Amino acid sequence: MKVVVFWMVFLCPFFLRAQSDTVLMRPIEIMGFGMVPYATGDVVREIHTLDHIKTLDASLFSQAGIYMKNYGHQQLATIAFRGTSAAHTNVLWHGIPVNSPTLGSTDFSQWHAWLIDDVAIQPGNQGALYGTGSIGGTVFIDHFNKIRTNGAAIGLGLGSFGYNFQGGRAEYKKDHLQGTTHIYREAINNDFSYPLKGTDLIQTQQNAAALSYGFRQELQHFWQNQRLSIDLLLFYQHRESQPIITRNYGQDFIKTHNIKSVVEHFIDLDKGSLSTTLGWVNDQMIYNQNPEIRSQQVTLTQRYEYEIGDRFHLNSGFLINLLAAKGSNFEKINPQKQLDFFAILKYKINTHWNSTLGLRESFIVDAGSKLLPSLGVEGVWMLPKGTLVSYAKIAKGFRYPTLNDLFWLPGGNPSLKPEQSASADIGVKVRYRKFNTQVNVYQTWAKDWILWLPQTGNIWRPENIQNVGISGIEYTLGYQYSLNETELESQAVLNFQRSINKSAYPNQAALGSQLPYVPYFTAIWSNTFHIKKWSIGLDQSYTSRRYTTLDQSDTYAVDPYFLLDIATDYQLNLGKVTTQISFKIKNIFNNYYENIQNRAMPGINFQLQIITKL
Amino acid sequence: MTQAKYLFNSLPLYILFFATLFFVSCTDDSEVVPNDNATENTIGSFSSGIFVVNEGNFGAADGSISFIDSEGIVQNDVFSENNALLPLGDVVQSMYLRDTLAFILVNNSNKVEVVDVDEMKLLHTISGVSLPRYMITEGDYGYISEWVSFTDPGRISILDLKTYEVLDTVAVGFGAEALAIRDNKLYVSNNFGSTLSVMDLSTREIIQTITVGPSPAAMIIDQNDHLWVVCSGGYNEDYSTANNGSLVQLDTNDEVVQEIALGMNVSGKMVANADLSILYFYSGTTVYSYSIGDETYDTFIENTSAISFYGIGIAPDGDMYIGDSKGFLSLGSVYVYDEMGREKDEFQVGRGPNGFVFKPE
Repeated sequence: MKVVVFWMVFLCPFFLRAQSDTVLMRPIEIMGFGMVPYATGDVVREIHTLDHIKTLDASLFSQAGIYMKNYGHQQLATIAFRGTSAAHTNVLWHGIPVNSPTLGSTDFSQWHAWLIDDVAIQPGNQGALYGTGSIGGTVFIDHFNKIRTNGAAIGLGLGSFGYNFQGGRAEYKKDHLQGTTHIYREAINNDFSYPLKGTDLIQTQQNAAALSYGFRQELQHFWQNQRLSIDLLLFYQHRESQPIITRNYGQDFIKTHNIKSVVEHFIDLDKGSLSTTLGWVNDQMIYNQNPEIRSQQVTLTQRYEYEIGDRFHLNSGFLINLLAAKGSNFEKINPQKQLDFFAILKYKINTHWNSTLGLRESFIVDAGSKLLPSLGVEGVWMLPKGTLVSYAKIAKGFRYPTLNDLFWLPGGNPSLKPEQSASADIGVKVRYRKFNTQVNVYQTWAKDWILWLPQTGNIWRPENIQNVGISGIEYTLGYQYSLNETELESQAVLNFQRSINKSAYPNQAALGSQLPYVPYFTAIWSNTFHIKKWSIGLDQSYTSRRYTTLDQSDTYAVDPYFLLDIATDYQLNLGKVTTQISFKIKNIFNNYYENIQNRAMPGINFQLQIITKL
Repeated sequence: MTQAKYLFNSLPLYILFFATLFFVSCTDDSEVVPNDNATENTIGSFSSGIFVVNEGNFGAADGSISFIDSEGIVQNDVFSENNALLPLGDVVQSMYLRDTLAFILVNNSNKVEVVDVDEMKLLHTISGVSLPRYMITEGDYGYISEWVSFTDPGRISILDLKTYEVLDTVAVGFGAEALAIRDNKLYVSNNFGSTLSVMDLSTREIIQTITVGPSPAAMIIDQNDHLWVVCSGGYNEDYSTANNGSLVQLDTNDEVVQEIALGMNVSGKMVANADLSILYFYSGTTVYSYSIGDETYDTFIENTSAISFYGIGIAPDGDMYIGDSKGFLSLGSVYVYDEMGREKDEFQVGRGPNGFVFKPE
């Protein structure tokens, strides 16, 4: 029933007649090269997060081709692109790879949007210039290509289950100096109630509270044709580990301290530019009273961009990455040394067509190298009242084993090979009058995926054992109508994906089955209705059944779920002071649902957000 | 543009927006209400057959019980199916049968579910236990071994079988694991160490601690009334296996009288044939047999297509049942072998089959 309703309301916008006298488009995607300087070609979708009082997992939730796994409410949140897993996502902050060296993934609940200006995503493995893991896609967090102004903002948040947020930020610019400072505190008791399956009991969630602090300082100095930029991120979190529904208590917790810092020097050259970036990332994690696990990473990258005549654009450079980890389950391991070279040549064929040829070579000491070519073409046509863009790409990708995979004691396997992939992607995007639509079809062939397997003596060991075939289609339809001070924005995102195990492991039934936690179908429909200083938002999402075993067992599947959120915003202007007040009701039908098997998520809940800007 | 025209032109927007609200508010009732009727016993009775304890994936709370009837038909997840889809819990460690009752010990959910075994209906939940492992009964009392935690000593909880109340707890060694009763004494293997604790059932006091081998686990009292314990073996500083598993024999005076070095680390599971003259244990996907009185052991079953043996049992008719966890990546398998070690059958069961309970007619 809910699916039918979803489709009915989804189709409604097509029956509305478009008004032709006003066009006000707010594109959420930006086409072209160099929008994110650490990627090339393809479609990059940029999401402005600055006024989000939420963590990045919530900010990215509604993007096409993405599936967020939340291990409970305000708990660990990982991202998966196009039927892959969190470890197959490359995450770059100012171009520095920031996936955990030990786990190979990023907890997006530990990245708060309040500290971040922009995030861009790029599904597919063709985008990132360097780094490992972009078999599924890449997330780009912030870059230095911004012009600051003078201003400040204060953010307050209140919500159900003891949620509260306090944040402040300021940005400033004077002469040759600019910068921004952000700080926040966020806390939640997370004591929501939910019905315990199979009983009449209403259970109150225990041991799921979280407290986070974050700080960011960015400074940039300009002189002549150069720029020196630094950014520093500090993060602390004490998070209780939300227990499963059948054990609704516990004392487990995780304490995290993260320091991320980056320095970038940029020179604007005649017909080109040269940028050099040095990054240092230090992650410390303590689980209960166990000894801490600490990982460190030092990264040096250099990128050289150059225009060759009118038709060629070259982007080339290298990355050196040193990764190390310390902890009781690691021997004294030498830092893992990675070296990447890349050269991306863009050729403008004619007024409509561009092509991109990429070549990456990635070396890792004692583990050989990988040559990764990519080829893309893109055509752009101007229509009488819109544009049409079509594109096609093929590329190879890979993922190095993590430090845990290689060196964890017991079981780490230093002889693991990198996972490999090849992918093809074709798409078309049309903007016509008040509509914009995009279709992407993709196919990925992956082999040597790593699984941890039991050995004798109760030891588990990772092996390169799994081959996977991934295919899917992403469809986005946006509609925007405005008239005087009234405006409607509507966007629907549909994803269908098959991520199929091509290995008969661990049993024959696994061959041809959908991988765990890859929903066949997800749909999101977002509407925002603006009238003068008010706006009302209506967000609906549907996530289909997810399997948790490699043989696609129905017994262990997680039920599909439907969510509806409603929000209302009011903007109050008092002189130069602007205050935005937002009130949101989430999960308005109070549906019980699980994102991860037997981890409760909250029913209906509320959030009030006030942001005042000077 | 006049106000009237403005309102008229805006009308479709209002219609769309409020139609959306209307439609979505007409969706099905909330999914949160448990429905007992929808899941009323659709499985049938479990008067005779084989219960398979499926541990489930750690942290996923997907442990379950499967049932293989005399016709070889497998019914999975029989606990949840007969109890309104109530999840059994996280890490279902073992199941103990006593008359018409089954006690299901759910390790990481810190509970013991008491069910009517014929219908698999939940009768009572014993909470207040901490990482329970195994259970045994004597007279009107049950004895539950509990790890308690990874840093505290284990304990034995003494259960009143009439009221299901825990009457007392007795501290033993770290990692209280398997249980055996002989001569009014309860033997507890302390799996995180190298000892057995011996408790006098009359006084409920620990009267002896016996050193055996590293990681003692399952115990069997053989045809000579001697007690055998399988010791899994330890780990070196670099976490590699020490390959020092062993079988240790205690005579009726609780003296260690024999130790069979196995030269490898083995599972903590062990079973015996019907006349208690042959012990079976395994490592990886190989089952070994040891005939009591011998100096060494033999290879009994090698299954190169299995992923990882995780549980073992011997039926009253002598058939051997072995659970393959499949690395917890898929449904588990149960392989059935005859007394000569020839494979007879294979069943697909729940996730992580770690043990068997045989219920004869």
